Amino acid sequence: MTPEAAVAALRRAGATAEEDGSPHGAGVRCQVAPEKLVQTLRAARDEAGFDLLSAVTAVDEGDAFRLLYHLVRSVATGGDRDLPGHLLVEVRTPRGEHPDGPLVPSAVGVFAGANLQEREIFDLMGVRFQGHPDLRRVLLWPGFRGHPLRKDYVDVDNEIPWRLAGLRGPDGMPIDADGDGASRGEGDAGLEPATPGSEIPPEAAP
Amino acid sequence: MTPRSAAAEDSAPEVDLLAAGVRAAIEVPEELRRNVLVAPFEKLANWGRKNSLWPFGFGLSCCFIEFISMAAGRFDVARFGSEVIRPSPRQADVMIVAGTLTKKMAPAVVRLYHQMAEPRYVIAQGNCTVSGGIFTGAYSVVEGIDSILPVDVYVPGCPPRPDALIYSIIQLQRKIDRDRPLSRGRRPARTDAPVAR
Repeated sequence: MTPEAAVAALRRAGATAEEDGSPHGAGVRCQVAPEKLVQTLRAARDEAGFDLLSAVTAVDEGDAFRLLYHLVRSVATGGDRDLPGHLLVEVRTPRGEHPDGPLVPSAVGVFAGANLQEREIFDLMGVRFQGHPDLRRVLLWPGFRGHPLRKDYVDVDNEIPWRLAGLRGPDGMPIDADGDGASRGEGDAGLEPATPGSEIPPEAAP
Repeated sequence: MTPRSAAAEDSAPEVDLLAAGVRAAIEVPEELRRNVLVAPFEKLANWGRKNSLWPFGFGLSCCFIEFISMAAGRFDVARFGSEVIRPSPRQADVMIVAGTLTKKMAPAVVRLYHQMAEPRYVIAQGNCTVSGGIFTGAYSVVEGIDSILPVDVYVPGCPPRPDALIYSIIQLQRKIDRDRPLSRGRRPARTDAPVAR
């Protein structure tokens, strides 16, 4: 797959693509709207040969979030330095009004490895993923308030989650340090899981 | 024996009288004098406990690398009695908290501390366990383990060298010298054993 063919495949899927002349070897980068993200990732995997999703990262740009999908060609290029080895897919989405962030289609249907990556972005940055099978916090604990890696995050001094270890207070009841009354491990403060009937519309774009 | 002030309570003469009384009451035959030792129970118990402190290796992050170095061949804490690092809190004497403590991990640390059998001691290794270290003010870090655990020895450093950690175990040994295993909590610590040089 030559760089030009990869670029052509991505452009057919709806992205603006160009070759990336980085010093790390040939690569391609493209920008795509959130609605065309899944078909672009599918084209990158099936037609252009970028079959490994290395990472999904996010950048807080104040008025918007920029999601970066780092794709890699796992098959060795055999010393041919002109074959593109990595692809960067950028999705830029406005911040929106929801406290847990804008809604973006999930890449789990195309790359299963996006599962934990998207949970981490939801946990720390606050971007929700439509269609994710189990969108909940992964690094911080359920009941943590806020998304700490946002630029405008103000520390609200979350209490130690004593109930995670089953520790009980002197009255024999589980310790509810942050006072939200939630039982252990159930749900996140402010987020409903992506099940039918939740507040996230099933097929709507953000 | 009614408790008096620390200076008068545990003076050396009182202990020596006890030892002398025991020696006077027990006649050790001449040929056994090199094999039979008569001593106050507290001194023997403290001596045994301090020279066999088995650490509960509670490695959380980078400080645990220095902990491992301490236990490995170059620094070799086994010569001070810490023969094995026990993975189970039931079998450990001293919990060396090595590394940054996050709020999510804190309940597990406290639970493990309560699972240790007494006498148990806690050494706070590294700046993060002493005060939060370079992560002071972070959204997820407990700033110093002494807010949730009773700490016996603090070892500052980022990370502290293995020999600093060995020094902390020696300091803990000196602290155990002052312990009162038979009447813990009811009598002040001994003062005839120096703690700091």
